[in-house]
Amino acid sequence: MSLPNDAGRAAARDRRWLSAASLTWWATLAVSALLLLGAVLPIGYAALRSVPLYESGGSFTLENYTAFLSDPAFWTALRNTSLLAVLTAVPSILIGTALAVLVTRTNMPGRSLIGVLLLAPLLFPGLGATLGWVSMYAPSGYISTWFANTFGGVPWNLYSIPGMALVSLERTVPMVYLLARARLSTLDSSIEDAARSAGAGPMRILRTITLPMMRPSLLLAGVLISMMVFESLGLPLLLGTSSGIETVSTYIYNNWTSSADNQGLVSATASTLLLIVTLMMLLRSRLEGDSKRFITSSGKPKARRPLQLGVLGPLASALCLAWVMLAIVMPTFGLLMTAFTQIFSPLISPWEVLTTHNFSTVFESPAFVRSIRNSIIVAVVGAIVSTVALTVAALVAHRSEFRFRTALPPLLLFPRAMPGIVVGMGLFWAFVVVDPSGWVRTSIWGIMIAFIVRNTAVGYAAIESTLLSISSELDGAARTCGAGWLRTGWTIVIPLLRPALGACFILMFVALLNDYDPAIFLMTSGNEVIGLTMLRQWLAGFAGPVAALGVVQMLITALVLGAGRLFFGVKAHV
Amino acid sequence: MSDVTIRQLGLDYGDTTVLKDISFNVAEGEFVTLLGPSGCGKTTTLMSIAGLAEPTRGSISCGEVTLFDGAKRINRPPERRDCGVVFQSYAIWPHMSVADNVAYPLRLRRRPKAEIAAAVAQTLALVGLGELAQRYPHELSGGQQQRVAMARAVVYSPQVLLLDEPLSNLDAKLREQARVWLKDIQARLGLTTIFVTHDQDEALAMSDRIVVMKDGAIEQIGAPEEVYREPSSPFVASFLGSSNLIAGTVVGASAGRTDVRIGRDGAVVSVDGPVPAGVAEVQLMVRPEEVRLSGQARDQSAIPVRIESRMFLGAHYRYGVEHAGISFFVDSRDAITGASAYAHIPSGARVFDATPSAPSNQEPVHA
Ligand SMILES: Nc1ncnc2c1ncn2[C@@H]1O[C@H](COP(=O)(O)OP(=O)(O)O)[C@@H](O)[C@H]1O
Ligand SMILES: [Mg+2]
Repeated sequence: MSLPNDAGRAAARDRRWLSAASLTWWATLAVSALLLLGAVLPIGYAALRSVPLYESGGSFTLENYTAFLSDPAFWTALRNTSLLAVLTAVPSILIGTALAVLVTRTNMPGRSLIGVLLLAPLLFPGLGATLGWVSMYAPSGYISTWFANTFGGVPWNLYSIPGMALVSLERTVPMVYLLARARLSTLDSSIEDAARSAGAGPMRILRTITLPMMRPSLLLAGVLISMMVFESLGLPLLLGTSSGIETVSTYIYNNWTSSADNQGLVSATASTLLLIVTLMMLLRSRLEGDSKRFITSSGKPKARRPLQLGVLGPLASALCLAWVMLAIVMPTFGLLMTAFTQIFSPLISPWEVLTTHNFSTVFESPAFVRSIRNSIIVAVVGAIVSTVALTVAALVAHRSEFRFRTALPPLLLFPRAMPGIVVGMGLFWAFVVVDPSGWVRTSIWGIMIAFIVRNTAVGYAAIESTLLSISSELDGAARTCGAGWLRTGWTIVIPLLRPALGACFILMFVALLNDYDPAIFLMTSGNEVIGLTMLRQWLAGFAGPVAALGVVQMLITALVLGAGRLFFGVKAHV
Repeated sequence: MSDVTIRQLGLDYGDTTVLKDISFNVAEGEFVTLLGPSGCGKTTTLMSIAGLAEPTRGSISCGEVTLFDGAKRINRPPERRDCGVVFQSYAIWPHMSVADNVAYPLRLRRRPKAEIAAAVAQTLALVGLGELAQRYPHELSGGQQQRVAMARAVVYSPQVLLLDEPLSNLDAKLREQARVWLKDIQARLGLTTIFVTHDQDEALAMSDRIVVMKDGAIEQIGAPEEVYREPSSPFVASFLGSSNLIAGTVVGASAGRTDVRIGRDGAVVSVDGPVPAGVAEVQLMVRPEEVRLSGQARDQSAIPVRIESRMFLGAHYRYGVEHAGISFFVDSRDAITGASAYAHIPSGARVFDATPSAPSNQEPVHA
């Protein structure tokens, strides 16, 4: 049936496709490397220069490093950050693990509802939730005021290191809960049954059997939390500034904003922060490898018989619900009330001071409206661009004959470990060097690039996990039928990936809408985004409009996640 | 259609060698089976031919065309090799209907619409799926999916057809039918075919020649009868059909015949064929159906055995018997009662060198 002429034509066409394919491979590698290196190299370079990169002249120097290393404020900041990391990690691990054990391993009443509620904070990654905490628990907050009036004093203070740790729990407890839950699901409960038949009571089994087996994932959680604390900028800035507490990130931020002469020092400190976080990430990969090796599961999980809590059951439920109430419901309520009242205080009935004034402030101010519009543009365009780019990258990394394909996943996953301000600063310098006109740097596209670089890992993980579950024989079959690499990707793999692409889009949208710290060095008048506007306004003391923006941000996030759940079955935590 | 030649093909994954420089060829229109236990490198060999695995050294050519040459750094991409492949998982695209699956290779080749429709209908009729053209893969049974995979692989008249255990996902009854059916299609289209299986019955029933593989190396190549009757090693003997490997020692050799004592102190049997000088410990290979079992000794070569077990297998009985501490199996149509009997080991039994240091890839002692 096949004519020689026909075969010759097919061969010629395939050669053309082949070169288009290898062009795609090289371009993917080049862009990924450029964006990552673009965020890292300029910082290292700027740290070693005696003058800022946009000025001519200057020479290589180590002075920037000696400058911050001899600054006592830096060492105080480093001590503060470490202390904050410990004060956050220990209670998060205790609470998160306890919740995971109670929800997955016991017969606690209401455990499935509690299990769902615990993850709610992961849906809203923005600053709004932090504002909610402050509105309730800060010295002038609703609950604090009520507590002081009733008991004559407040034993907590949010504007301190333990206070910051307390607010961080909102983010870190769900994270530990997820990790611990995943770990528990791989543990064979017959080990617990064996202990029970040997006569051990439930508490003893937890203490001597279950918890020791979870140790690897708890260590991992500790490292992840420390990374988050070292990266975090908004929280220490908002809670620490008034009492003069600096962390490494706020040290960088304050030096950057206080004087233009500090740019070398700031770059040197940022490169050091990057080094610290990178070391933590290496530790994390080690631990992840270890905890995989630790898995005891023997194939299919058996039907579990939950530990019987007996009379302790209702008590445990009450404690869990108290946590949900105090750490999730109250702050959310606080955010809403701050947005919808003139003043939110137990001294005045909130129903008398209800107002939409904060929202009209937001929607009448061109800068606020612009930041909402910009954020939506950045989130939509950025999510589309990154979904396309990450799909190509995942195909190159896992489904091509490209020689350097194994270099891609680390390039795409590493930025997750980079502190947002470091990404922002690196790209700031890169834009300064590459685009002296400053057009990219001062447009929303510069911010979009920074946000995308910071968040690639989120979308990439969503695509990769699905791609790895698609048998490579399916694309192998297309290749042997005569389809080149590009056509195979387009006609076979991408259609099969469709749900994952939806998930990638949604997750990237949410991440880009809520992110703010990479934009700190890039924001000027005209390219504002919601998160950073909130941070700035809050620092300037305008809580009401910030809360209103927070509500807007939450509404958009909820709408998009809801649509994602409906159409693609997306979960907010991958 | 073309012949396929594989020379010194080697493939390493890191430090482990998966293919140990294997060579064989497949003539035009021939049906060759790669047979071996799972993990021996059959799929890897097949995928190297298809272009989906990259060998480390050696060469593969198809007709005049070099598909792969390690030394000349030639590695044709899979889409330019013109192989039809049926994967073990069938790899039918779940988002396309049966007709679209089969039409895909033709659309790539930009055939006119009418021609594509005709070819798809003709091929689906060939595999007996004419009515199911508009179904989607999840609406098909395992056997039907296998047929779709077959139709997709042959619709564009490839140079070579590569089949990776296409019948292993079918249940026993369907598998027997599919064997006949598959062989029939291959013969009708006259396709050069390389078939992979770990099932000896399949290999014996379908192949023109069998390549027996073990641990990434080739043990023996030959027609089914040859491989079955004259296995070149104890491995091949035990992998194809059931066979007894009876330990013994050489006690004498004369005029091309060898006398072997069974076990340490058993009877002596005389078999055709010489053994090299100096070989003392040997294994006698004889298939259960070749040994005759009787209540009385019929001649001097009969050896007395004790009956240990008896199983009724339908067409015959299988007896487990013991002589001089060595146990082996004998098939017989006769129901023999009693605890002892006589076994007649044919003089055509094969003798393998069993010297402890002998390499695992034993050469047959006689041709
Ligand atoms: N990607 C791979 N990396 C490392 N080893 C592999 C890989 N693929 C196959 N192998 C090994 O190669 C050997 C041969 O595999 P395969 O060709 O699939 O065997 P068969 O098809 O005969 O069952 C096996 O031992 C397998 O473990
Ligand atoms: Mg196989």
